[in-house]
Amino acid sequence: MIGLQKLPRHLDLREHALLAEIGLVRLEVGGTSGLFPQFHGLSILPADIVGATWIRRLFLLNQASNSARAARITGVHSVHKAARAFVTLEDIGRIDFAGLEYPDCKVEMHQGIVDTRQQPRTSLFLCGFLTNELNIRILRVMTMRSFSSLDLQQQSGEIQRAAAQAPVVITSHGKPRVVVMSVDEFRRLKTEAGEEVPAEARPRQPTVLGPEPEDLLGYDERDPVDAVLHMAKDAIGGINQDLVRQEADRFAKHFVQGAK
Amino acid sequence: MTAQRVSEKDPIFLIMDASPIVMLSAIGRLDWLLEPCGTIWMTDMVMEEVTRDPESGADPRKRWLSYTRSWIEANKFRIRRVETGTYKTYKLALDAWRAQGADPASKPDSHDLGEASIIQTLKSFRGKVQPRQTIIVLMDDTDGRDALRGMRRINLDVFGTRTFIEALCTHFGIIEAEHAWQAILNVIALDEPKDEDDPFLVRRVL
Repeated sequence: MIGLQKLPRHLDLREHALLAEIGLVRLEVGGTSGLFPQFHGLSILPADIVGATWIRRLFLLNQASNSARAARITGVHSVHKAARAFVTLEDIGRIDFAGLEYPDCKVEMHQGIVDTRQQPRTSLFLCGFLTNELNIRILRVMTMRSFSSLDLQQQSGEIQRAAAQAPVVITSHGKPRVVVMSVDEFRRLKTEAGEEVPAEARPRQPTVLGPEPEDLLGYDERDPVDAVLHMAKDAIGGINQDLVRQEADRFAKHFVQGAK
Repeated sequence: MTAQRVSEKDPIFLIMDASPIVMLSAIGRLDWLLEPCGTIWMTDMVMEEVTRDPESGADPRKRWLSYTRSWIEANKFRIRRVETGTYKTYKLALDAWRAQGADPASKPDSHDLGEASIIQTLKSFRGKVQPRQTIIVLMDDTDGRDALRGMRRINLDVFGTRTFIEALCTHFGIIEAEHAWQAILNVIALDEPKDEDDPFLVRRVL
């Protein structure tokens, strides 16, 4: 087991990268991986960002390649300095990384609590995964608010707004019972899990009205006599009679109980 | 435009096209329209078209017009009239045209009024039909059927006269309906040229 002292204490996650992450949800910056930079520090986040519910992701980097396996981080709470909150590895001290598998890059979910001064009750929902090649530990941080079942009745608007930013826990008798999340987040989780996104949660496709299939039982009545003659001849000649029979069955179902 | 409030969950059988009425009138079988549910709904434009005096002496509808009128009168409590703003506007224009001497060159145009009234007709049912109640529309005109199928916020099912007559024969026990088309063809084929002065060009059949 390698203690925190062997990890860089203040890996800088550059602010512009963080903002890009916030804006784009998915952080894409340079680095040897092509995806994440080889930071030699830990993220330093402005306090207002830390306190805001719209933080989506926090990336932490562990440069010490051999330390990750044993990086069981314990106990230190967040550090606040003036207007800035420095989130370090200690801030996620209550996170149990035992579930991480190294070096298989397996995604694991962890839950921890960061006690920030701005939002002392804010809980952070952390999704971490480990990559062997880069020795990067990436933590996905979302502020996760908690509401009671009573709040669900009285503050449904607020809960929906909060859920639009990050998943919200609904508690009943003090125990977490339900998680409310945005459809986007639900889709993302389903996609990451390799599961099908239910049709109800899929983005609505734009309505494109193309040409309708030919209406075989409609008649052009601009010339009404011709239309009637045409209709009568079709009926006598059995033109499209199968379709007529199908429609007749459907017609009857509206009026006759038990019609075939 | 008004439609009476519907309290039943039975489907509403709505006649939005004059052709089925004219064809059934031609063979003296308008009673068939009441077979499905005993009551029909009819738009004011259709009702006007099938009961008015043809403006041309060559219009074959003259031969069964009295039957159509008397049938509608006899069943007035079974026929619910759906009023539309389209018809009112057209009627005002027609009255004004007649008051000014009925110059054929300035006759109000009635083209596409049938389709135009569809939206008004169906809107008049909103809030009056039960949530699971369906409006069954009888319509043969291709454009009218297209317009109806574009009404996606109301329970509609559109059928033509062929389907209606087939259903009468196969599901409503009207055995003689099997020969209806031959009878209609016989009547129509013997008739005079069509009426070019019909103000309801969209609706007219004969």
